[in-house]
Amino acid sequence: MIEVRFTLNGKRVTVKTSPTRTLLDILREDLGLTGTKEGCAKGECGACTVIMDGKAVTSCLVLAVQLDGREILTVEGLAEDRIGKALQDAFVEAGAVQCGYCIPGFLMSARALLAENQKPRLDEIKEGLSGNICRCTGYVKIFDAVALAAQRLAR
Amino acid sequence: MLAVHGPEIRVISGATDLIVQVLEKKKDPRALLDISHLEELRYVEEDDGLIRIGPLTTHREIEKSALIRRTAPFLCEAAFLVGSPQIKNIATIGGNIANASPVADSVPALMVLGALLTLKSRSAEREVPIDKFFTGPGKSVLRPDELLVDISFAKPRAGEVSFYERLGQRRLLSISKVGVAFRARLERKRMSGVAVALGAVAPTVIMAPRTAAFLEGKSYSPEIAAGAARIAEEESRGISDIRSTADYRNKMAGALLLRGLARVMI
Repeated sequence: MIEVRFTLNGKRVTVKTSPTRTLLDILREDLGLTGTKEGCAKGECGACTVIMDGKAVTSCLVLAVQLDGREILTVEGLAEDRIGKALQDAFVEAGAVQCGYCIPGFLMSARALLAENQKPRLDEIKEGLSGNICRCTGYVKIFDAVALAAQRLAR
Repeated sequence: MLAVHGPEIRVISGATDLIVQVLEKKKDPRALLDISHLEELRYVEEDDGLIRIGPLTTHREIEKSALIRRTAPFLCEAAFLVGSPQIKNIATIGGNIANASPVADSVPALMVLGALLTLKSRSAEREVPIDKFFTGPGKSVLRPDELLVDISFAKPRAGEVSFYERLGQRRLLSISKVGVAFRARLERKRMSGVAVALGAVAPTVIMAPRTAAFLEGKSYSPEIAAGAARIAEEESRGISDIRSTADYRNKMAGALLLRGLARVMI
């Protein structure tokens, strides 16, 4: 067992765990934050995307041993984040959510994208979200929602 | 630590490939040594005519690097093709090399750039040209007590042409079936210093010296390109597996060379 300290949605947390436990399992099972979803568990589908030190990463591929000192933002922290809140509102308004399982991951990738690029073109939105899969195939409305959020944030 | 326990340790940073294999129980390393916090191994810089890349530089950082975009844009393209944004944010170029996969997208580009790898142990340091680094799938000359600490190549001069073309099941987020990197100087339309590297068509990424020799000193024409493509097919030794067949891979190595040459020469 090791002890890792990191910042989670603005709060400092300490977790005692096995060094090879994934961030995804730590979030869902140890800390009870089940907003982050498990899909493929091998970095292909993007459902488990969170933001680590400002960058979108698949939490199924981050090990506990790599977490020390990092800053993690999950979907539970989005409502208190300016870009995150705008994205959540836009996803609802644009009707971007179907079954909803992929949405936390999409929101996190979109949050990382808009933090880096305030006025993304459609191809940049597509590229930024290219690591997330929606099996309901609702991509068009998801792209619309990100564009809508970007437009509002620019005002 | 590597000096004492080297053979039992797998060094990791992004570990995007290894974690999946460990979780699927295809690999069971005795110990993992995470070096992802070593910021001093994360850089892209120009140093006396050399471009130096720290092995912990992520593919995303290479893709976005203004210096690489200016000097070797096809390496940005190769880094772009490695995977999803999430993977590229943690997967490192040093890992892409040390993992020694024959399908690594950054390696063909680094090979035609003539990259030198600096391998360091506690007591010694040596430089190995990247085309002498790989010995088989997942195998290299990296010793258990050594760490890859630097990747460098001479800054390409103005007037060079280069490309990385690859073929996967989809344009993005797919593992390469075939990858072809090309680089040459162009003076009065004549190619010189030609280098061609082929990915995913042999146990390691390989140089294609006969293809390069055929193009050396020649000017581009569709016929010359077709001749080079035939030789590249002969130099490919693809295998049949879940992603493709040997025959298709070898033919596509030629086709990608044709496609790339047409793109940069016309």
